[in-house]
This record gives sequence, C-alpha cells and structure tokens, in this order.
Amino acid sequence: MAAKPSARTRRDRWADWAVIGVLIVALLLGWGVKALAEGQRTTFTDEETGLTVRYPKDWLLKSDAKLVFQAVDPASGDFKTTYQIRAYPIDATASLTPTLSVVLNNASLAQAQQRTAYRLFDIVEGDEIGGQPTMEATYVFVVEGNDLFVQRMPVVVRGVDIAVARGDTAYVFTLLAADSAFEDAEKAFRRFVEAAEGQ
Amino acid sequence: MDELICCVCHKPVGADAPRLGRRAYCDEHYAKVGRDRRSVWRSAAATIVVLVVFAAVVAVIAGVVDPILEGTALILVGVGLAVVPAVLWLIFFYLQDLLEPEPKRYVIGVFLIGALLASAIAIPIVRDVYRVQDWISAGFWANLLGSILVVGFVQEFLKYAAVRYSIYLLPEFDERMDGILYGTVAGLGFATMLNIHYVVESGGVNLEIGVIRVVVTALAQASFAGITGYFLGRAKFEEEQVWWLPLGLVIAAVLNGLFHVILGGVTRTSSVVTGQMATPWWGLVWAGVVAGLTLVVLLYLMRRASRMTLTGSQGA
Repeated sequence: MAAKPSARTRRDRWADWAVIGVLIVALLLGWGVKALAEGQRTTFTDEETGLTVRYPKDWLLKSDAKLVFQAVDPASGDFKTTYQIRAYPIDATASLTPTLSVVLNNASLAQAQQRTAYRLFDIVEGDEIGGQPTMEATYVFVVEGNDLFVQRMPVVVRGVDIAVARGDTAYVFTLLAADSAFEDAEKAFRRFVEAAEGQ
Repeated sequence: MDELICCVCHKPVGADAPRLGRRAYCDEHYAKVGRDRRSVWRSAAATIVVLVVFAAVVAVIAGVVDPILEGTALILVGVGLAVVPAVLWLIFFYLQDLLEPEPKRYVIGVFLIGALLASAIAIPIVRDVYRVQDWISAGFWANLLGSILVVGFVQEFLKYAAVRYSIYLLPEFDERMDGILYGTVAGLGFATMLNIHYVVESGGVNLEIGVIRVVVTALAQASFAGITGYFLGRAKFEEEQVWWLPLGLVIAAVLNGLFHVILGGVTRTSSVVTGQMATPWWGLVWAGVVAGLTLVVLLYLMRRASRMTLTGSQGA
C-alpha cells in the first residue's frame, strides 16, 4: 500500500505550483505592458531604403523630397520638436569614422547657409548603435517668428545629428527642439534611433 | 549503528571525531572550518582586489591599443571577459561556505545549467518572444514594469529552477547555506552567458566600460539568485508557508528589474550629456550600488544560515 504523502511533501508541491503560478501571472502582465507600450507608437517604412522607424503615434508626418523621414510633435510649444532622417551615399570600403565626419560637416555647412545664427558646437564619436560606430554633431540656431500679426520672441533651437553607416549609405538622424525642451526630447530621440531597423 | 563519516570528504571517522552541531569532521576539514574568520575575509578581499586589477588592466589595454574586434577575436575576447570575472566571483562565494564546502563537480554542474538556461531559454524569450528591446524604452512605466515582469521574472525563475530541479533534490543539499551557494553559482553561470551575448551581439564593446559592466552584472546576477537560494534553503529545512518560495522569487525579480532599468542607461545611448561630453558612467555606478547592497544582504544571510545550521534549529 502506498504511503500517504507527508504534509511536508504536499506543502512543497503547493509551493512549487505557487511559484509557477506567480511566474505565469507576471508573464501575462508583462505581455499586457508590451501591448500598451507598442500601441503608443506608429511604424513608418521607407520603401526606397527599407528603413523602418517607430515614432509616437500622435506626431504628424511631414513629407520632404530631401528627407527619408520627418515627423513633428504638434504639442511641443513655439518650436515643434522634429525628427528627421536623411540618407547619403558613401564609399562602403572607406574608414567609417572619418567618412561620417565628412557627412556631418557637409550637412552642417548646408544648415549654416539656411539657419539664422547657426553655430556648430562639435562633431564627436558617439555611442555604438547595433555594433556600428556613430558620429554626432551638436549645434544651435535661432528661429524667428514670421507671423506678421503675432509678436513672438525668437526661439533658440538646439539640434543633434547622429550619423550611422550601413553598407554604402550613411543615415543622419536629426533632432531639432527648443532649448528648454531639448534634454527631455533627446532621451526619447536616442531610443528612436536605436530602435530603427533596416538601416 | 551507522558509521560516522566526515561531512565534507565522507571518509570514515572515529566516534571521537570533532563535531559542529550534528556534523562530524575529519581533522583536515575541521581545521579548515575552524580557521580564523579573518583569513576567510582576507581571501575574499584578495579576490575582490584581483577583480579590480583585472578590470583595470583590460581598461588600460583598451585605452592604449583601442582594438577592433571581429570574428574569432571578438568571440575569444567575449568569452574571456565573461568567464574571468565569473570565476573570480565563484571563488569569492565559495570561500564563504565554511561548514561544508560543496563538491566541485556539483558546483560546476549547476554553473553549466545556469549558463545553458540563459542561452537556450532566457535570452530567446526576452529578445525574440517579448522583443523587449523594441518597446521597453517607450516610457518610464514601460521600462520599469517590463524590466521587472519580463526580464526579472524570466531570469530569476530560471536561476531558481537551475537549483530547485537539480541539486535541491539530492542528499548533498544538506544545509541552508547550500541554497545560497548553489543559487549564486547558478547566477554566475547565467551571467556568464548573458555577458558573452552582450559582447558578441554588440559587435565588440567599449572595453573600458564593458569590463566594468561585465563584473557588475556577474555580481548582480549571482546576488539576486543567492537571495532565491536562501529562500530555497530555508524551505527545505524549515516549515515555511506555501507563499515563502514565491516571495523569494518576487523579491529577486524586483531587484533584477531595478538593476536592469538602471543598467540600461549604460548600454543605450541615452547618456547624460554635459558640455558635449557623454558621461555614461552614472548608470554603472548606481547599478553597482544595487548589486553591492544585495551582496551585503546576502553575506549577512550566509552568516545567519551557517549559525542556524550550527545551532541545529529546525532541521539541518
């Protein structure tokens, strides 16, 4: 005749099932968090380059022939926080760091011709993304309001360009934001850059 | 009457063999148990010093040589960076097991089980099923809850399982301290595989910061698993309630999740920019604080477990 399971053995079994139960509940809740987090973003894929990015779903897409991607935060004050992506052809066999530096320098020169009081702070090596080296340019310029009927103070805008190479293309991810909103915007922007696929 | 044997080497000993609590020892192993506690701390401190020297040497070499890692060299560096700190931490924790040092074959076995579970289950679930990397940065709450509920619970359950469904079932698991020791060992195996993946999948890392991250991660994973191991040890030898083990898992998962949130500030490029100079070290510092505090708690629990075993309270 089989011995009755001891109270200790029964308690051990219940404890084992309790552990597994807690794990299952945690994983189900985690799946819910995932669904909620993903629902806050919209996916954009550029057909020409195959680049896929995820941006906040309440932002507005603004097309521009010179840009792969541009989205604007409509709720961000006098100067609308903006994400942009440009693509530049590069020599895939050349050393990456100097190549990306040249790309950022050229982009900076173009901006200097278009922006008021444009000043480039620095071009430095950034953190790696997907195992690829990056270069970053930080700069500032001023935007003056051009509404004849409403007087607004000029806005100081800070910008950062992050250049990443993939094959024979250099992608330049740009963040433009008012100085007062730049630090908060930068954190979200870096997550946006890291999550880009197909670059 | 059962023959009296040394609880460490299992060799027969006489009836007058030295004892601690209900444990009998041969002269050799009794001498090791009774050694001055200061010598234990000296040995442990020496291990920490070696760890620091290792990290410093790697950082200096990386700063001077600035190597470009790819292919076989990348894999070798990744394995070396991951294994050396894990072995050193293993020595540190092994030295804490004073009463009855565990057989090395069991220690290595649990280490390998931890590594296997990390590579075969934990990483695929977090990276490929939940795709945590795509959404965890969506905001503060997504980051915190995702880190705890997904990363924390998956990792801590697997480290718990590495002990619970292997050595826990064997007679060799015969004191509370064994739960802590084997828990930390499983954590170190787990961390070794995480670190190898970290180095290889990021295509080589900034070695100066990477070596510190590897050392801190190994300590953290071992300490969190040691907490769960403490709960396992008490569950085996004391009459704990049904909620006791789930509580241990929850505590370890929350600590793991917090660590993941803090450490994420190092691996992502969301670093603090001051004066156009990126300073990503703060994430490592705070992650190290979390890991260090958990280690302090764990060392206290180790001493408590040994004391309870010696006094023979409720079990082994």
